[in-house]
Amino acid sequence: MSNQDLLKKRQKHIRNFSIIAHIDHGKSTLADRILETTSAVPMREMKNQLLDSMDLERERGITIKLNSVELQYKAKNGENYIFHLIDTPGHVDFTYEVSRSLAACDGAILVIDASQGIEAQTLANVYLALDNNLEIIPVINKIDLPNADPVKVIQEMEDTIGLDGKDAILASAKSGIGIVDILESVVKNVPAPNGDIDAPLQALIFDSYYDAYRGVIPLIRVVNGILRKGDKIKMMATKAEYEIIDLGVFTPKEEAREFLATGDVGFLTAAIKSIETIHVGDTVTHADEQAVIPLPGYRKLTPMVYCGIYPVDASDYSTLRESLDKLKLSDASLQYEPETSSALGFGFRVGFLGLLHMEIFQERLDREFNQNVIATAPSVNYRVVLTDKSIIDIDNPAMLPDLGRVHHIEEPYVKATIISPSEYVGNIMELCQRKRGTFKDMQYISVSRVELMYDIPLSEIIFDFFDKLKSSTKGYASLDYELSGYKESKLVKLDILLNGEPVDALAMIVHQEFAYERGSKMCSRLKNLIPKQLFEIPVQAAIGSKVIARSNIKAMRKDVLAKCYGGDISRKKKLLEKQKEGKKRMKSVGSVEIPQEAFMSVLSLDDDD
Amino acid sequence: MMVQYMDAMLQELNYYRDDYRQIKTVHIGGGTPSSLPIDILEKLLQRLSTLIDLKSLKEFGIEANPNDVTDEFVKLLMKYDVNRISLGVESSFQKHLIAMNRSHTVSQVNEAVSILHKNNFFNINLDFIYAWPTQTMEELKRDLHFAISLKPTHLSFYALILEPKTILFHEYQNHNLDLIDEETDASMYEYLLDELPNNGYHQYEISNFALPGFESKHNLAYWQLDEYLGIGMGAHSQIGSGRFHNFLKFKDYLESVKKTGRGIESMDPCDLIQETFIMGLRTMKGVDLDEFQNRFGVNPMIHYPRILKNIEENLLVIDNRYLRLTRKGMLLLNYVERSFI
Repeated sequence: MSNQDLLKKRQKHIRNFSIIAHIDHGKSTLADRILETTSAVPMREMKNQLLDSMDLERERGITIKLNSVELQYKAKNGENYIFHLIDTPGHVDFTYEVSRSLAACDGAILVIDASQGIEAQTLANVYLALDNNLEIIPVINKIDLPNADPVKVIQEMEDTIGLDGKDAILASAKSGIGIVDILESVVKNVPAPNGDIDAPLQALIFDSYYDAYRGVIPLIRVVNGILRKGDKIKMMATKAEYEIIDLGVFTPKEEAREFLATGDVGFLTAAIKSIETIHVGDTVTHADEQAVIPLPGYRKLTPMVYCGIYPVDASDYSTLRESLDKLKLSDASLQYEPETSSALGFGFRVGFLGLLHMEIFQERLDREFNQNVIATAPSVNYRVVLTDKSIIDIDNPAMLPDLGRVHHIEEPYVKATIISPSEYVGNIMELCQRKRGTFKDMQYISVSRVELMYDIPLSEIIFDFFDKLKSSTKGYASLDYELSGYKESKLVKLDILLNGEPVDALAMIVHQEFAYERGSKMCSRLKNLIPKQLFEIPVQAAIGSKVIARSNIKAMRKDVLAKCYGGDISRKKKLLEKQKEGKKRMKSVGSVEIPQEAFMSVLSLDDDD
Repeated sequence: MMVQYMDAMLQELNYYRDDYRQIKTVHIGGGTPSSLPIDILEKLLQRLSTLIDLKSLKEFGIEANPNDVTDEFVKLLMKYDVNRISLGVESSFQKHLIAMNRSHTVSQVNEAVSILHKNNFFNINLDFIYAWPTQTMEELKRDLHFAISLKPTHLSFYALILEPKTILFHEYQNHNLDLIDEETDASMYEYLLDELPNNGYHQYEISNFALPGFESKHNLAYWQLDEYLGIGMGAHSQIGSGRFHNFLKFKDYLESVKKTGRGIESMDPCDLIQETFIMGLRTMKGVDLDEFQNRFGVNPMIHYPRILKNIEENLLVIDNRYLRLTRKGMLLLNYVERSFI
């Protein structure tokens, strides 16, 4: 046989798949078990949940960055197979990344918790998998738990997704039940990659990460053609050209390869210095013998949520910029640009895919880069139509132009899918109404579980929707959402004044109807959050020049450590130092010291005080 | 155990004998030395008298629980020239004493003072706590009049400090107890600042009041950063520019004394420039700025630019060459002191 024929034969034995699930349904545990069973990882090297490699992922139990692993599996039919297990993030913020990693697969293992049943993200992921024409292998996981009800869950699956319940594999990843059945089903049901090795190169970039020595490293799935070391390549969307230095796969350790052929999943290095040239979803082709068209589905990521990030100490501005540059290298979806606030000084407006993405970013900034920053309350991007019909995008409430110049304001809406036990439908409807939602659809996915569809302003979702949803359904409801477009709304800018001075970083855009309520809550919240100072500080909420709510922070009256114990000066000093340390984390705005939490306090305004 | 501890302390005292030739004051405190069995206390005093010329001391004080004050106890103190006693009275309300977990009663306070007076022991300090949870302004007024009626030479009124790891702190964290609000706390303090001087007790430190000439010389030594030597578990010392503290645990302390002759756990950082203000501003006299400049060779106003801001804020004032707290500054001592951190 020729080399080419050998490769074609090999291609028939490749299976590319991923595991999709709602958060906590056991995806990572199943991945561990598959790695163990195919002996990719010797037992003693097994760390729990091997695919989640970032500390944060492990702590939060969610997968943020994707990984792909090549596994060898000897099937019961005696043949050897090459498995590529491609990990996907399990959270609504990362829908596009999930869709790209699914595009690198031919099949998906759908994990459903035997006691929780179908959840919003189960559905969202299944739809993405179906969009990508993936063969789905349903797995009912955690069947050994006391409250498991696989029969009911299979019924739900048949009713909502339309999968044949007879195909469902009953498993417990934790106890190792059903693992071999799953692997055999992958061999039998997931089709081999159908690309053409003789065609011009088309490889899909489904993720990338950054290595300090080798630059940006894209993870790719070769769809057509073959890629060899030394090849000159071109990114079809960004037009950047590089020469391949190394190729390889993860087993899960890095293993160098001379080539990656049709159906292969691996990484390439090419001394890529700029993350800007590597976009998830882009197609890699040869520079000289180019593919005619790129692979479908490429999309530039647009942030959904924005917030201001400012150094607490102004002199840290440049190190903050460096930290952002470095973070961007391993988080391509991060977007930022310099911004100035009269209250907070020089900082950045940073765009995120969602709230979780924002939280992870802030934690990484703190943990990996030791940056002491102030984050302003998140905002969405508003589309402001001016009286002269020109349109401007506003992602920072403080930048809203004078209302005299504004014709109207549009805000982003999302299509929200909520799945919940039916007894909470009333609560959910009430909540959605309160959040300015428009009812779209409702259907029973089983006797006791309901799927609700609403159109809701994104700004209400980022406000505190998810927390409220959880608390009004005893934690049982799940949520998924996607941007559905912009709609005109009656929005106003609410200014917050401290000591008579507006603090731009505390400004917010709110619906007219909520302005009074949120203004007065903001005033009383700030009154509790801002420590007393030597003088009384009036706190006011205003729309334009009209003050709609106010409170007062009383002057500090007494702050004395009465006793100094028997010459223990150190103890006294420690106390003073601790107090001083607390001050350092505050931002002086004019003559008022504001703690970090104050800038985020708008998010919890709907809580009862 | 008591004997073991006493022996260790005496051994430690002996270790330092060359360091306290110039000693001016001695204070036996930190807990309740009065609850020691009288023979052990006598042994301690007897040994002290062989190491120190007790008669020449400017102040020799001891702390006592009111219910430990007996004729025998007072006579023993006087035999060894103890000339000041500090009673932990805390309150004139039985309900508060119970809440504070104190072992004495209000009538035992009266009794203790009359035993002392009967023995011609008049240099008495009474410690009180105020701003205790549930305490009212009216109750504080009664405490003050009760205190004055006992004719002490010295009074300390300490606002409650909520210390972590105490029962009170635990109760507070579990929301079982409301602290006195800041406004009441401040008014109580202001009441004391007005009323004690009206009765002849002038304020010489943030929480301390005395008849003229009866200021505690021992406490002033701490505030003026004089040298002091602490003996026993958890004691703190400052000798020269060295500061250190002893082991807090009985076993560790004993072992250390056995091995090295003293109970030092570790040295503590010491920044006399900074501490001159942190401690000195507690006194009403304040900090002598000329002396400061001479001693450290730095201009205090340049070294600590916030002093000027605090003066503007009406928290500090320069009076002659002394920098001292204003009345407003007394209420905001911590705020002022953070200027020096």
